[in-house]
Amino acid sequence: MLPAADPAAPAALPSSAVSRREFLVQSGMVSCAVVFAVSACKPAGAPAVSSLNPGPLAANIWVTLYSDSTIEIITPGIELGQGAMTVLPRMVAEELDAEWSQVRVIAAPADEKRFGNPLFWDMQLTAGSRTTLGYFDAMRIAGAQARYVLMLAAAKHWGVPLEQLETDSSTVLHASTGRHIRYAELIDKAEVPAAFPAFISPGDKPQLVDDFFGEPPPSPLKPDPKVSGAIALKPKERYKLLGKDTPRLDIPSKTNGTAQYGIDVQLPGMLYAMVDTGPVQGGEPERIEDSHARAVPDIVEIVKLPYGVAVVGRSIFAVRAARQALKIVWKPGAKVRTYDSDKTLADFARIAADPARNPGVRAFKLGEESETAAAFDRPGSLSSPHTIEQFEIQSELIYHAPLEPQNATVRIAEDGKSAECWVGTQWPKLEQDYVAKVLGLKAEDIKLNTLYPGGSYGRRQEPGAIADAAAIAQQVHKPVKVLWTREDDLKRNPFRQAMVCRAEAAVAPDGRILATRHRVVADSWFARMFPDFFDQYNKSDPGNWVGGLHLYDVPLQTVDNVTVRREVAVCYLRGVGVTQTKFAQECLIDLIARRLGKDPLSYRLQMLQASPRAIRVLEAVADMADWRRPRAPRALGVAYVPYSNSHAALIAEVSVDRSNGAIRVHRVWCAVDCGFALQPAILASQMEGGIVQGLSMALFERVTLKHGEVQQSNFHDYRLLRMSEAPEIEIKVLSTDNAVTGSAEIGVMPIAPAVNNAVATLIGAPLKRLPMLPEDVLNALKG
Amino acid sequence: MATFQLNGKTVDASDVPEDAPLLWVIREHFKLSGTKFGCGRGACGACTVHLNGGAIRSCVVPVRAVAGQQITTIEGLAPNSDHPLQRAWIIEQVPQCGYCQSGQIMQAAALLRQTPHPTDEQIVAAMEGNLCRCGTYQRIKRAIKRVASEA
Repeated sequence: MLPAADPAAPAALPSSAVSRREFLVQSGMVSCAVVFAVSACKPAGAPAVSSLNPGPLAANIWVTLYSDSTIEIITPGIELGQGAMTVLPRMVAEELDAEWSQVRVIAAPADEKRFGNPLFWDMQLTAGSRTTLGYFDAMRIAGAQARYVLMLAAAKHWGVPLEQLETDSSTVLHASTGRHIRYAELIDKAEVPAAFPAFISPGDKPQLVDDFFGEPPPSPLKPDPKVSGAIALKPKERYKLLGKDTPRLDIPSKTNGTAQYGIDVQLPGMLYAMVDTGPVQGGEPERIEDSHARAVPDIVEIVKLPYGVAVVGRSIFAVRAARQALKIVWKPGAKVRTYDSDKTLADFARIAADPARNPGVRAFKLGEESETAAAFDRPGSLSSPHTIEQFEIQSELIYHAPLEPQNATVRIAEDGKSAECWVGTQWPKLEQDYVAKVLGLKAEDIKLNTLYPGGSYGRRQEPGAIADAAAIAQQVHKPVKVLWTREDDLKRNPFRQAMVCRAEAAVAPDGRILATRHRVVADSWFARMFPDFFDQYNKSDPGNWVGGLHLYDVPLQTVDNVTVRREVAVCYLRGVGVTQTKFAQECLIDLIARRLGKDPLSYRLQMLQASPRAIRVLEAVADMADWRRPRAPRALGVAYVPYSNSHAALIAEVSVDRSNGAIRVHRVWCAVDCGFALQPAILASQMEGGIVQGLSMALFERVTLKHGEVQQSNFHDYRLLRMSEAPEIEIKVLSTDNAVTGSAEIGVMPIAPAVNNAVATLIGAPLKRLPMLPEDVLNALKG
Repeated sequence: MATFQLNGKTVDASDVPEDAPLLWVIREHFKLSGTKFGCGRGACGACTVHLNGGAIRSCVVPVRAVAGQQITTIEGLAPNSDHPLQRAWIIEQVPQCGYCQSGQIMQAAALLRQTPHPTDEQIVAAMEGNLCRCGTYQRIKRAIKRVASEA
C-alpha cells in the first residue's frame, strides 16, 4: 500500500491495457519473453484535420504547421531533465526537414491511446530508459507524414510529380526548375490525405529483445523495402539534426527562475494545505486536538483523512503555524511498527541462503537447470572440476530525494463533475486515475496539467501529494495546493527496495565459468502497486531480477527471485534492482579474476568474447583510463554493465583513508554504447548525472527504520553527495549503428561495483554492503 | 517590519508574520517562484538568495531580519537574465531537472562577486552547501570557471 492507508492505492491497471498483451514467464524459455499482440503497434496517428481547413495545418496528431512558419511538435515524453522535450521533437523535425529554430514544442496531454509509448506497453510513462527508443519510429513517421502532406501540396501547386520534389529547411524544392516554396506558404494549399503511404527505414537495425520488456512489438516502419508505394525515411548519413548536438530547449528557463514546477502553481482563491501523517507510514489518527490550530488566523479547516490530518488555510504562513499547534494522537498498532532495517536484511540473508525452503521464482535460466543446481549443490557432479565462488551483498532502503518535495494542486469544478490538477509527474495517467478514484469520477473527467518535475528518478512514477489534494479539495470546495515538507517527503516516500543478492559462480581451473546462480531477495514495487503485472511475471519483479542476467560466456545460468512483502512501501528508483544485483555480480567477477591471478579487465574481455559491444566499451574505457598504469596509493576498479541493450564500462580511481575509513573517488571514466547516439552531449550528461547519483547512493545513502520509524528526516542526516565528493568524470559516447537504446539508468549501475573493486585492491577484500560506509572499511581493515 | 528591497524595488511585507521565512514571503506573497523550497533548514541551498550581495538561505531567515535590506533573487540577478553565470550555465548546458539551479547560480554569483578568480578549492568550498540530486556538479564547476576566466 502507498502508505497503507492511502485512499487510492493500489491502483488498478486499466483492464484493456492488460488484456491487450500477454506476459509469459516460462521456466522452459531461454529468455523471459513479454509477448505483445500486434494491435499494440499503432500508426503514428490518424489524420486529425480533413481538408482545406484554413488556419493551422495539423498534419497528424504530432505536427501542426502555422502560417507564421511556426512548426508545433507534440512531445509525448516528459522532460525530467533528461532532454526528452528536445530529443523527441528533433526526430520529427529531422524527417520533416524542418528548420529547427521554427519548432515549438508542446507537451502531450495525458492520453495513452494516442501518446502511449509503443515500447512501454503503450503507457505514457516516462521511465525505464524507454522514452527515446520507444518513440523513435513513431516520431520519425510523424515527421515523414507531415513532409508528405507538404510535398503533395507542392506537387499539385506546381503540377509536377511528387517524386521530383525534395525538402530542406522548411522548404519544398523542385530541382529541375529551381522552384521552391516555404512550408508556411503551403499551409492553405495542403490537404491531409485519408491514408498515408507506408514508411520504411531499410537501414535500421531492429530493436532487440529486452530482458525486462521482452520481445518488442512490430515497428510501424515496414521492414521490407519492396512495399509498394512505400517512402523511405532518411538514412542516418543524411541526418542534419540527429547525431548533432543542440542546446536543450528547457535549459534557458532553468537558469532564470521562469521554469514552472508543480510547486510554483498559484491559482486565484487557492488554499494551502499540509498533511500530518504521524510518526510512521500507515498510521491512523485516533484523536485530534485542533483548537489552537483552528485559532490561527487564516486557517480555514482542519480535515481528518483516513491516514492523517490536513491543515488548510489561506496562506502558507498560517498553515505552517497551525501545523505546529496541532496535536494528534495516533492509533497504536500500525503494521509498520514491526519493521526494523537490520532485522529485515538479516531475514533476507537467511532466505537467500536457504533455497530449499525459499526457492522463490525461477525468473531466468540458461542450460539445464538440474546441471546448474548440481554444480553448486553437489560439487564434483559436473564433468570438469570446479570451485565455487560466492559473493553476497546487502543493500539498504534508499530515498529518491528529489529536491522538489511532493506537491500537487487540485481544483474541483463547482458541479463536482470534473477536476483540474497541476503536478510534476512521470506518469500523468496514473495521477488522473488516483484523483478520479478519490473523487468518484472517471479519469477522462480529470484534466491534468503536467509541470516540470524537480527531480524524479522513479519517485514520480507513482502519485504522491495529489491524492491528499483531491481529498482535501473535495472537503473545502476550493482549489488546494498540498505541499509536503522535506520531512513529510522523506517519511512518506516509497523507498528503493532493500535487497540481499547472492551471486555464485562455478569456476573451472582454467578460469572458465561453468555456471552462475543468482538469488535476489527483496520486496516488490510491482507486487504492491500492480499485482496484475506481478502475476504476469509469474509472481516475480523483473526490476529486482533482470540484473542477474549477464553476457559472460557461461553455459549454465539461473536467476531466482524471492519476493518478501514487507510493511514499508518500496518503489523503483533509477537503476531499479540492477544497480544492486550488478554490485554483487561485478564484484564476484573481480573476486574470481583475483583468485585466478588474472587482470580483471582482461578476464572480462576473455569471458565476453561473444559480445563485441561489451568488448568495445571495455577496450575504450581501458584506453581512456590508461588501465595498466599503476595508481598507488590509489587503485583502479572496473565494472561492465549491459542493460536494456545498452552497454557501459566504467573505471573508477579510488583511495581509502585508513585512519577513518573514508572512500574517495577521484576520477571516473566511462564508455557507453546506446546504439546510434541521437544527441551525444545529452547522452553524456545523462551518464555523468547517473554516475554521480550512483556514487552518492553507493557511498552515503540509506534509509533505516527502527520500530517502523524512519531514522532520517532531512538532508542533515540523509546524506547526498556534495560537490567536493564529485569525481572528475570523462564520458565517451560510442555512437554505433545499433538500434537506439536508452541511457537514463545505465550510468547509475556500474559505479558502485567499480568503486568496490578498487577498494578490494586497496584493503584486500570487497565490501559487502550498500552503502559502503567508512565503518565497513575500518572493520575490513581490522580483519 | 514593513519594507525591504526586493530586486531593487521597495516591497511592503507588513501583511505577513514577522517570523515567516523569507523564502515563503518571496515565493507565495511576492510571487517570485524562481527561488525554491528544498529542505526548510538550510541544508540544501535550493532557496539561496542574496542579502546585500551575499548568499543566504532564505528558508531559515525570518523576514524581519531583512527589514531595510536588499534582497536579490534569481529573477533580479541581471536585467534580461544575462548575468555571465546565466550565459555560462546555458553554454555548458548545466541543468538537468533544474530545480536546484537558481540556488546554485545565486551561490556562484555571490562567490564571484567576492572572488572573481576563485581557485578550484574556493569554488568547491563556496558551492559545498548546494545539493544537486541530478549530479550536475562537474558542469556547475565548469560554468563558474568559464566566467572566472572570462572576467
